[in-house]
Amino acid sequence: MSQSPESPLLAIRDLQVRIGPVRAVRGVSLEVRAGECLSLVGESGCGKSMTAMSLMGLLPRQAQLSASDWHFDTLRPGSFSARQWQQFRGEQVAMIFQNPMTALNPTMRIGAQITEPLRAHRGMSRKQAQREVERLLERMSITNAAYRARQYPFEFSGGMLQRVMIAAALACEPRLLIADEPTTALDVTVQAEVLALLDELRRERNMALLLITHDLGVVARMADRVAVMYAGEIVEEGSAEQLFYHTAHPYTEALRASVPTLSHGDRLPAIAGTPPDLRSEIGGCAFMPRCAYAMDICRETPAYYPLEAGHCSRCWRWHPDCPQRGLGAGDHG
Amino acid sequence: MADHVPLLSVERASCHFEGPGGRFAAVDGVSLEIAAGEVVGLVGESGSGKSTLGRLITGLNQCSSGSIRFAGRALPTRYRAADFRYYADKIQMVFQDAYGSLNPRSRVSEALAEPLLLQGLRPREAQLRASQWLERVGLSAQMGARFPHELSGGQRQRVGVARAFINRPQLVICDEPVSALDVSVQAQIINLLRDLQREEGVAMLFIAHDLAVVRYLADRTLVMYRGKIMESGDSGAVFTQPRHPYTQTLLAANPVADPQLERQRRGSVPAAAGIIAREGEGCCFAPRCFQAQPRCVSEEPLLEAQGENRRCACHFPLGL
Repeated sequence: MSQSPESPLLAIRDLQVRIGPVRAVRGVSLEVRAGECLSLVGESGCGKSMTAMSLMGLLPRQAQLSASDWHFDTLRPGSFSARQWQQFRGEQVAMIFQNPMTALNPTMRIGAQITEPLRAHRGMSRKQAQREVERLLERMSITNAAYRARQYPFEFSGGMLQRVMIAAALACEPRLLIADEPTTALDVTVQAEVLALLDELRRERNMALLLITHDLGVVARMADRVAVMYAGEIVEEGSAEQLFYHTAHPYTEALRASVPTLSHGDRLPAIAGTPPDLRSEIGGCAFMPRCAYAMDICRETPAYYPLEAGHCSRCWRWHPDCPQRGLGAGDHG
Repeated sequence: MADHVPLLSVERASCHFEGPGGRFAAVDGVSLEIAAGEVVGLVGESGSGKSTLGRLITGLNQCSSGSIRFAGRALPTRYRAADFRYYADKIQMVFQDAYGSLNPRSRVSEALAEPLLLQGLRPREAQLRASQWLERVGLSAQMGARFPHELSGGQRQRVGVARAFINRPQLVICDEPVSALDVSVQAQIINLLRDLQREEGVAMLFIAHDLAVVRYLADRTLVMYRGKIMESGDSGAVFTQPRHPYTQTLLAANPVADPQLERQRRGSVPAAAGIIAREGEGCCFAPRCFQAQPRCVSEEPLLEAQGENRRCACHFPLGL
């Protein structure tokens, strides 16, 4: 709170996560400002969930993490003890998951699951917490809250459970909410409601939102800024407009092209091949074997080239000396 | 279509299940026809009965009433083993969960050869055909030696597709075949289905909640809600000029990969008109409809023809 509005709420540099032989995250740097929605996009196995778990201090025990310049406001999560992490989670950062049915305890009443953080973090009495739960559920547009709070997860629909999870996550008014594929399991109409709710809460509380998704439609609806991940690293980052209208990395371009749209097109330009095996060392650009723009120099690791304000691409095509600078000549077009 | 028998015709089919609140109709008096070689899309939210309808056609669930005819011949109301065998080279299905629909203990080549052996092919021939189909769906013949758990999600779905097409069926029901896959893998499987459908000239019922995927593959689209068909027509028309408010609601909720368009659309999802309906009376969509009127709760709209190839079950269709 002591910081100026321009400085990020969360900043981390060169995050590396290794689980046994797998290098799940290979040098990710992120910044999220208060009230901002940053979307982390990528396909399964690209390390986006592992990045989120690192930020929550929830990595599996055998995982090894390293990072530099890790700030959360004035806090330094890099040197937290287990106890400090526990305090940090819930109060400062909260997380919601793709599948609320498995994230909630099936044998506990809905109300009790939301009271838990309130009693633990905010030291409320049972009575106070109960009232707060009802208020929260009503805020999530769950009618008949007092009655609903006494029900069990199986008595709720998927969309309602996602609201319950959001209510539990927001119980202690965290300053950053990490949402990992929050609407992937939901119908489009319910998805629209949950997204609208998240957006409203973000504006209302000036809360930062880290939205992890593979759905570019959801990104376009929600994100201020977007970071695209591939094989454990960020390959392109910029504002939503920059990413969608001035795409600067071949992977982002291929990903965009492979999504069918409501306007009819011909054959979908699918991305051939599969992502690299993160157990072996990746020399050069990780996307090279699947890239329509690949050049000889791509065997060497590209730097992260800045294009314009806040827009970066990890592609040799943006090297100042590249003869055909930029995209637009490849097969993906 | 009056001059010849359609490949598939479903007439007033219903399927009831016993639920906690008594009997409810997952599929409620649905009629539809699919011509040979036609791709029909079926969209709707979860619980709309679209999967149940697919399962009725493949005989995995039984109709409570109504009938389904395939090439003019009524499908059995209750399948016996011999019936499944008889229809195995006529109607096939691709499931969402390719892992759950493959036997974890049989190798890919065995899984593919099995339907052929059941059709009376010799083992050698079946093996040969299995490896041909592996290559046709974009896998190497060596993949045949693997077990399902040794494949990626996309590779497993390729096996699922091969298994459905290997007997050369005339109709393939695809139930959410790509919704569990990554974006880039989704595109690969969609292309594969489209190529195979064209090469084999097979008819397809493509069930999905993803509107864009259906728009991409289907010639004609049906929109289902609460066990009933709300609207049907050529895919282009249904998606660009929806007649039913439910279709409009689905389209408005569907996020598109264009930030400026999304910003314009923000808050434009129409809210329900707030009409209160009694269960089982009037239009089932009335409680959620943005233009519901008193007539909607007193009288159930029927699925009526509106122009060529277009049907809509609404008293106040849009765009008229």
